[in-house]
Amino acid sequence: MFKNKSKTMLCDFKVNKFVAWLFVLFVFSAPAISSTEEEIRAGDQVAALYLGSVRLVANKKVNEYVNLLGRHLADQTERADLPWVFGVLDTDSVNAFCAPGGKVFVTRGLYELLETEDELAAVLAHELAHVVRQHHWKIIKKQQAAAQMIRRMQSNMNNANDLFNQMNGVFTDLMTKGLDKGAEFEADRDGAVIAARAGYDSSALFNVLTKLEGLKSDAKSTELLFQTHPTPSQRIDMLSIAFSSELEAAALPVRTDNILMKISAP
Amino acid sequence: MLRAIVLLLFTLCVLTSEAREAIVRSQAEMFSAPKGSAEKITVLSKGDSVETGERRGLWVEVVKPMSGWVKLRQLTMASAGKTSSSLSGLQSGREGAGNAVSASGVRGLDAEMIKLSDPDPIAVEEFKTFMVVAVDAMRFAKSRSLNNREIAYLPDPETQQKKGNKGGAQKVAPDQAIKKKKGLSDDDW
Repeated sequence: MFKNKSKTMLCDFKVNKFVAWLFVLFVFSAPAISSTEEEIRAGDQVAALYLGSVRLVANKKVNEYVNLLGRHLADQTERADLPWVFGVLDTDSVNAFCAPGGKVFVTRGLYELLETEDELAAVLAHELAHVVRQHHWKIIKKQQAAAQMIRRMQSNMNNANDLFNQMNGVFTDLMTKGLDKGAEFEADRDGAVIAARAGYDSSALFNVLTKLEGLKSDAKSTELLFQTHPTPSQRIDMLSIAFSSELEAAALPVRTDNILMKISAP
Repeated sequence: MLRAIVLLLFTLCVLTSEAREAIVRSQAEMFSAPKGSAEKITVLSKGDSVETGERRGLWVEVVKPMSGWVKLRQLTMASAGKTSSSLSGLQSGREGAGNAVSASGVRGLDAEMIKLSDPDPIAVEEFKTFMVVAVDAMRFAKSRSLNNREIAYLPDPETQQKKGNKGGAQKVAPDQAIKKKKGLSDDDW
């Protein structure tokens, strides 16, 4: 009798343990995704919107080149573990973009204005900084509609892509209206630091901004850039106020051996 | 021998100091050397046209109408070698609304195009094939003789100022900013 009871207790304990394990297994295999995974997927959708408008330049070597350079810059940041990928968009427009989770684009129009690898590093590093600081992702998450979508997505991974498609309005709004000025100034500051950490000229961003300053702000090719960013003059002023002596010491003379790969005609 | 050295120096000069026109963005003090502590030569006014020579860090040498050094941020480079064609193209409105289609047949990317975009997930997958790993990037950096440096992020000067006003303290020196890694002196890199 006594023996029997103890056996039952033991049995119960085993069953409970089994149930507990089942529960643990269920929790960890549930179709919920991590916050970084959400960010990367949202970035995929933003990239799909850019690539739905313009293609990458056909020159594979140039795209490979910006990936090597971009990855080297990304490795100087706290988010080196993201799946960083870079590309040159085949458009005359002068601009650079990023998508949450580590997708970065520079347009052919901007690329062709650049003369040195230092200047390309400055442009890419600015975009990298937006991703590192999650400037776009934080805004997307704040949107009520987006938050609801993410909750629904967490409960059912299978329809994640459909849900992201429904969020296109949120994404395009952000892509066409841009961030607040503060975020742009911050990306300029961080970008100069990231480029300098990677061994590039810390002052190259000044070169790029002075070039942008010389462009007509109402031309078709610069319209979006000037709509979504503070003026280059404002950016130059803000960056020079913030420049530290440490960063100033990381300014390099223009290097003649530091030639940018050309985008030849496809 | 002397001739060879002169020739070499001359070639170096040609390589490093391409003369460029620039416009003075804002009233700019011109110094005899690329440092703020150097002798002040003159003050350039906004809109003045100058010709620039060498660049050294955040400083640009002015060669015409007189020689001296000004801060890079005080000049707008008007033209720059090959860039001048695209710059003047933009300035002359070549890519104006009526000419949205460029020679290569690709339109500019504007807000309207983004709003009308038909998302292309297949293009994203193709795009991702360009992804490289850190080892490749390290090899690239090595081939370019890029030396990594430890440099602290810059604090926002606006919040620094607010803090300063509250406490009645002076603006915090950027040098005091948090270093990426602790125990680092300024001349470590």
